Amino acid sequence: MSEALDIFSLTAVRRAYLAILLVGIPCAVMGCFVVLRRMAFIGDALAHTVLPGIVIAFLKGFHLFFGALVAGIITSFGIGWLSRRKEVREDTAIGILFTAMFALGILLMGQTGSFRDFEGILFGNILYLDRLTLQAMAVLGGLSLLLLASVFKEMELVSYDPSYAQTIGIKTEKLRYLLLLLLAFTVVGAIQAVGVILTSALLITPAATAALLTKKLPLMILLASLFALLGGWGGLTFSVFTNFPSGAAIVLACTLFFGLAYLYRSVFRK
Amino acid sequence: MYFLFAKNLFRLISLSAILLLAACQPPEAEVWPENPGGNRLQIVTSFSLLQEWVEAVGGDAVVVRSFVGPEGDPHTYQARPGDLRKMVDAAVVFGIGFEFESWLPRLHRSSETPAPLILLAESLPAESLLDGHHCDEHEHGHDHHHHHDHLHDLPDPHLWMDIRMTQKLIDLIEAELTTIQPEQADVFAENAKAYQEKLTLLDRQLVSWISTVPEENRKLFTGHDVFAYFAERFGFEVIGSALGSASTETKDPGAGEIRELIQRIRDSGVQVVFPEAGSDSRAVRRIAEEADVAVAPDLYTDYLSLPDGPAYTYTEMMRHNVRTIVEALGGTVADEDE
Repeated sequence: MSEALDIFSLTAVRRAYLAILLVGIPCAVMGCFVVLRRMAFIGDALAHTVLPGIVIAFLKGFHLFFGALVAGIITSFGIGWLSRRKEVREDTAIGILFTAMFALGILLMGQTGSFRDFEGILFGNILYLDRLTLQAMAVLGGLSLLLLASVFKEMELVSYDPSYAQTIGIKTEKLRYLLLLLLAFTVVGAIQAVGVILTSALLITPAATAALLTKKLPLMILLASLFALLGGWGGLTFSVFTNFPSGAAIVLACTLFFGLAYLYRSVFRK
Repeated sequence: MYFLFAKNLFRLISLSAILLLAACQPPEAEVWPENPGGNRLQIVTSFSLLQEWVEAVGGDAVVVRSFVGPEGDPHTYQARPGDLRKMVDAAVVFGIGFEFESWLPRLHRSSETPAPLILLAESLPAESLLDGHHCDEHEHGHDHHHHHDHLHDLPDPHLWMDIRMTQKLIDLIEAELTTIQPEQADVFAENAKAYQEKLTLLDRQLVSWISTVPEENRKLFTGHDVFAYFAERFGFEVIGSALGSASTETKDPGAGEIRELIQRIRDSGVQVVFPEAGSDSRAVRRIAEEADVAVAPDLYTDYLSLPDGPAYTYTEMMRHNVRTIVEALGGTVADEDE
C-alpha cells in the first residue's frame, strides 16, 4: 500500500486534485443556471467554438489561451445577439454558431497542416497542468463566481420566471448576456485544463444530479458543487489506483452520481 | 420531510462512497510492481521501437518501460496517472523529438521528475536530418503551397526508416547510458556493437532485396509522409502521401488536393499505394480507387506489432516493410536469405 500511496506526493497529481476544485465548483454553479434554463448544449458548444480562436492565436503567435477566451466571448455575444428576438430560439442560435465556429476552425487549420498543437487545448489532460494554467483557472473561475454572486437574486428570478422578472423591471437581456459571458469564462478556463468532453460533463452532470434532488436554487448549487467534487475527486482517485484514463474516469464517476440520484428519485418520490 | 430528505441524501452519499471505494481496490501488485527494476537502471521510453533499442544496448543492466506499447500510435497518446510514476522512477527518459511524441515534453515537465529527457533525433547534427515535406521538392513547377506551414519546418522524425540512421541513434543511446552508469561502459559498448552488426547485416539484406525491383518501379505513394529517409537510403522517389504530413494527426486532404494527388499518381505511373498500420487509411484507399491502382498490405512505420504480428521487432518491421514493397513493385525476396 505504501508503494501505491506515494503517487499522491507527486505535484502533478496534487495539481489535478486542485484543478477539480478550481474547475469543478464554477462549472457546477454555472451548470445549475444552464440546466434551469434548458441550455445544456451550451457547454459543449462553447468548448468547441474556441477552436478558431486558438488556431488564429497560433498563426499570429499569441498565447492560445487568449485566442480561446476571445473566441468564447465572441460566441457568447453572438448567441445572445442572434436570439435577442424570438425569431431564432437560443438553442438554435447555439447550434448554428457552434458548428459555424468549429468549421471555421477546421478551415483555418488547413493553413497549419497539423492538429497536434491544438490537441493540448481540445483534449487537455488533467495531468499536464502547470502553475500558470492553475492560476488562470483560479482567476477565471473566481471572477465568474464573484460576478454571478453580485447579481444572484436577479439571475435566480430570471432563470425561474423570465416574464415575471421582466414585469418587475429586471433587465433580463443584460443578465442573459452576462450569463453567457460568465459561461464563456468558465468553459475556457476548464477546457484548458481538462478538455472539451470533461468540461461539458462537469458543467451539466453535477448540476443535473442536484436538480433531481431539489428545486431550491441555493441548495441545488451546494449539492451540484458537492457532486462535482465527489465525482471529480472520486473519478481521479479511481484513475490513480487503476491507471484508467483520468478524464474518462471523472466523467463516469459524475455520471454514476447522476444515476444514483435518478434511482433515489424514482424510489422515494413517485 | 426535510429531515427525511437529508437522511436519505446522507445514505445515498455514503452508499456511493462505498461503491466507489470498492471499485477502487485493484490487485495492487499488478498495478505497482514492487521495485520493478531491482538494482538495475530504470529507463522509460516514449514508444515501442525506442524500448527495443534501449533494451538492446542496456541488456541486463537496465529495465525499460515504454509509455506507448506495441500497436500504439505514439503521435496521439493520453497520459495516465501511472505514467507520472514511470517518469519519477526513471533514471532517464528517451524520446525521438521534433514533435514525434508532442505530449512527452509536457508529461515530463508536469511530472517534475529529476530524470533528464533525452530527445534523440534532436541530438543529431541538423545536416544529417531530412526535411519533413520531402514529397514536394521535385514539384517546384506547380504551385501547391497548401502544404506550407510552420510545423513542416521541423525535420522528419522518422529516422529509423533508414537503418544507418538507427545506428546513429544506437550510438547516442550507448553514450547516454554510459554517462549515467560509467561502470557498465564495457557492457553497453559490447551490446551496442552486437546490435550494430545485426543492423549492418539487415541493411545489406534489404539493399539486396530492393535491387530486384526494376529501377523505374521505385516510387512510393503512402498514407502519411514517413518515407523520406527510406527513399534516401534505398533510392526511391516519394510521389506523395494521402495526408501530406508526417503526423497521423492532421486534417484529411481537401477535394482539390485529392485531385492533385490522383493526377500525380497517374503522371508517375505508380501502380500500387502503401497504407500504414494505425493511421486512418480511408484517404489513401479512396485515392487508390479513384486512380485505379492497387493497395498493398499495411506497412509498419511508427511502432511495433504485437508478438504475433508481422513487425514484432525492429528488424522484423523493416523486413516486413521491404518485403511488402519489393513484392508489390515486381521484385522478389529470396526466402533462404532470411
